[in-house]
Amino acid sequence: MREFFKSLRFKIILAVVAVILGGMLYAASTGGLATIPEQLLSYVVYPIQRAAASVSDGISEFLSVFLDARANYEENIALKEQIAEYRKMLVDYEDTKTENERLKEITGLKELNEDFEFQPAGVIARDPDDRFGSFTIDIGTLHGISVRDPVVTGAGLIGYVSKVGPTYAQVTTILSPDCNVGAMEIRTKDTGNITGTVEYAAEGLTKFELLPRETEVLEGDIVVTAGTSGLFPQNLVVGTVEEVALEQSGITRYAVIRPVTEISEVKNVFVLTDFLGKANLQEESGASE
Amino acid sequence: MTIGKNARAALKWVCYSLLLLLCFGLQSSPALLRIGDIKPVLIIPAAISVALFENEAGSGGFGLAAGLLWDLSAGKLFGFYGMVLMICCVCVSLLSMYFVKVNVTNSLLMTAASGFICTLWNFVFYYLIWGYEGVGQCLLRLLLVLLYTVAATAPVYYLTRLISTRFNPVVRA
Repeated sequence: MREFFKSLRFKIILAVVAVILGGMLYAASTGGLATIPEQLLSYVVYPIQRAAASVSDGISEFLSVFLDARANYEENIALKEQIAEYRKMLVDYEDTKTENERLKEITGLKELNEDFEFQPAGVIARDPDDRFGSFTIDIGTLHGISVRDPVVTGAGLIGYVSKVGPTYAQVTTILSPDCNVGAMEIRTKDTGNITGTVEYAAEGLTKFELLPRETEVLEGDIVVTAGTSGLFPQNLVVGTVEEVALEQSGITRYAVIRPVTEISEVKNVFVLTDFLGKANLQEESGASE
Repeated sequence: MTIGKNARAALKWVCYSLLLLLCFGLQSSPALLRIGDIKPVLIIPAAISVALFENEAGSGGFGLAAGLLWDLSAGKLFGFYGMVLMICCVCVSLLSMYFVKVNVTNSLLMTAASGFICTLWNFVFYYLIWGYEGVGQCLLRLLLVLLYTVAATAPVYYLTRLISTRFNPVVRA
């Protein structure tokens, strides 16, 4: 054993540790961009992650036929009732749509979401150690994705791209305390900040903080992005209010938000690569330098 | 037909690498092996089991590769787990060479110890120092992941032993 500590092998191992430490410091300084060795390795593991995700989806789908039969039956009944209700709502919707189109013609307003440019993506990996539902998607810089791009589903906001490689990207969700999104409740117009906490993330919920003490936000209200920072577009649905409470400080209130999409179950997402009012981070960082 | 010593060694490491990639695929897939919200980190038993049968240099290299794969799928700083897993594998290899017997019980213990080090490493640098509220819950969940990982060690150990006995002229025991 003593010879090992005097051997060349031990010195090589120490040198490798030093190189890794240096690499980590460099990687930390790149602000979310993958390093060259990381990019090279990602090309090797990308097909494995895709294959594993496909197998995983296939098996889950197959097993769910048997495991979820009762739940599916009950869901089927509930959905049939919902469909009947939606048919009634559809009639109202058509009337409203016609009226809306007429108003648009008058005012010359553009459809708000026409400015969106997005890339569809599939979830290929989830880290067992992560507490806040972050996941890896199968597109990266080669598809025009960059760090801080918003990630959404058809229902609303999921999170943002926190790290990007050539063919993959890591998504930090709105359940994470690292995520801060300016948001607004649509009925009261009260604004605040969406950020995750450990406690709420465990239940798939997030927090809408910094609301005024006298806020009139109620359970069931809908929260959307405020779009003031230029990082997220305006009016993306974040979720619905589950509960409103006073912060421990007694100065502000907060609301507990249930995201519109079950983040731990999401399989397909869209990455918004461009939208009206998007801040140019590179230019801004250049300007600040 | 017999194959040369170098070819045997190369084939052995190819088999180890395939085992590692299999574990990586199972670990990073969204739904496979999932119990509730918990999934095992199969890369740890794979690296530790190989370290029990191989010398310190090979084990260190394999541990580094395993850790870097983990870094990639976890979105951590590149080298974050790579460095820790490499050091753990070198230590496990030295222990198995000089002090402990290679069997499934020791494999479980070594995986538990190495996994605990990785868990603490992750907990301190990604949770504790950021001062999140309710950080104890994070540790509890990480420990559940570790428990599941240790429980999943035996099959990985036996697969590694199978490869080792097939290709190594002398198997450590």
